[in-house]
Amino acid sequence: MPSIAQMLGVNRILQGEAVPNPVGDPSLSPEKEKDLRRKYILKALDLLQRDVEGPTVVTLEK
Amino acid sequence: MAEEKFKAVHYLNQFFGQIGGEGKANTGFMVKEGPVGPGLALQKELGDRAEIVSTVICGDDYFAANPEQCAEEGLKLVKPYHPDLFFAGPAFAAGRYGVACGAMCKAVAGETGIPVITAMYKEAPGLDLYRKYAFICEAPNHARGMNEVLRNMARLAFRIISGEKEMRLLTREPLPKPEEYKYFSRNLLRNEYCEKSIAERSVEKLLAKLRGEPFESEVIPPKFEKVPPPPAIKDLSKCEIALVSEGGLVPKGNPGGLSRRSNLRWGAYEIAPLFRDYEVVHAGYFNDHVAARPDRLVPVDVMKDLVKEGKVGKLHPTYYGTCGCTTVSKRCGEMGDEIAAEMKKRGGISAVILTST
Repeated sequence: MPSIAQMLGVNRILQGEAVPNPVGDPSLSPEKEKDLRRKYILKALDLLQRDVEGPTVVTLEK
Repeated sequence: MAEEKFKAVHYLNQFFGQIGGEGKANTGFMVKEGPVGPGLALQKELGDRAEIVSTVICGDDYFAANPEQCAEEGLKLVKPYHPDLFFAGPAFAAGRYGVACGAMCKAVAGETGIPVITAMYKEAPGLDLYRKYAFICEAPNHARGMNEVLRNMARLAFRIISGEKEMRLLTREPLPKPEEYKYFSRNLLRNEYCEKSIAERSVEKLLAKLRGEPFESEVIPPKFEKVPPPPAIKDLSKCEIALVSEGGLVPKGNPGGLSRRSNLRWGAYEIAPLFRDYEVVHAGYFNDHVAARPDRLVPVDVMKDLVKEGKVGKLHPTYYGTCGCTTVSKRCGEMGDEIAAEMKKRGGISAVILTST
C-alpha cells in the first residue's frame, strides 16, 4: 500500500504485487513466479541506486 | 464556612525565577517559599482561593540535559508541599523551558493526580511532547502577553479543581472544552453526547469541506516527520543487502513471541534455519501464500541468485522481522530505529529491502 508508506515519509517505495504476496504470484508456475520476483528485486535495487528527493513511488512495468 | 484554600506549587526556569539569564541556565534545582517573579501575578489571579506555597526553580540547560531524570528530581521537591494544583511557566515559545514545564507537569500529574497547568506557544516543541499529560494553555511567542496567559491558567485550574462534571462527556471527567478555556486539545479520545448522529455529522463536514467552507475535525491524524533520503548506493556488486519484513515470518514456534495483531516486538532470525522451519504470524492478511513459499515475502531465493551472479555483493545472513498488523505507528518507528541500531552494530550493511503486506 504505497500511499501509507508515502504518508509516513518513506523515501523509496516500490509497489508490490499484492497484499498476501508482495513479491510473488501464486497463480504463476514456480519458474515464472521466480522471474517475476527477480524483476521486483531488480527494480528495488535500481531504486536504491538512484538518488531521490523525497517519497518516491515506482511500479514494475510487467 | 470559609472555603479551604488550595495549595499550589509553581515551576519556573532560572530567568523567570530571578536567578539569572543564559549564564545561569545550568543551575540545578532550588526552592523558594511563596510566589516568585510571574508567580506574583499568578497569585493575584488566584486571589483568595489558592495560594502559591512554593516555587521550584531550575536552569534550562540543567533540565534539558536529562528531562526525565530532572523531572523526577523536581517532583521530589514538589511533593512535600502536598499541593492541590501545579503550575509551570508560561514558557511561551521557549524550547528547553517548554520541555521542562511539560516534563514537570507530566511527572507531578503521574505521581499525584493533581491538575497540572502550563502554557506554551503553538509551535513550541514541548506542546506535542506533553499535550497528552498536561493542560497546556495557549500563549503568544513573546512574554508581553504574560498577564492574560496567567489569568487563563488560573481560570482553567479552578474549573478543573471545582469537581464540576463535564456533562457532555460519557466519563463526566474534568476535561473542559479546549476552545472555551483557551488550551490546546490534549488529543485524548473521549466519547461525547451529541445531538446529531455520526452519519449526519460526517456528511455535513464532508460537504462543508468540498464547498471550501470551514469545518472542525473531531479526530486529528498525527503529523509525520520528513526523513531525508539516504544517498544512492554506489557499487551494488560490493554491497551487503539486508532483508526486513513486517509480514510476520518467524521461526516455527514463534520464539520471539510476536503477536498476530497489535504486536510490539521484532526479532533477528538467521535466514538458513528460518527457511527450513517457519510459520507466519500476522492477522492482517491471508497467510497461506507466504506459508507455502516464504520467498513471496522475504525474497531470499532471488537475492541468493543475484549474489551468485555477482550483481549483489552479499546477502546479510540475518533477516529482521516483525508483524505489522494494527501496530501503532509510533512503535513501528521505534522498532525501525532498534533494527537499524542492530544493523549498525553488526556493520557492513549498505541497504535494506523491506517488504510489506
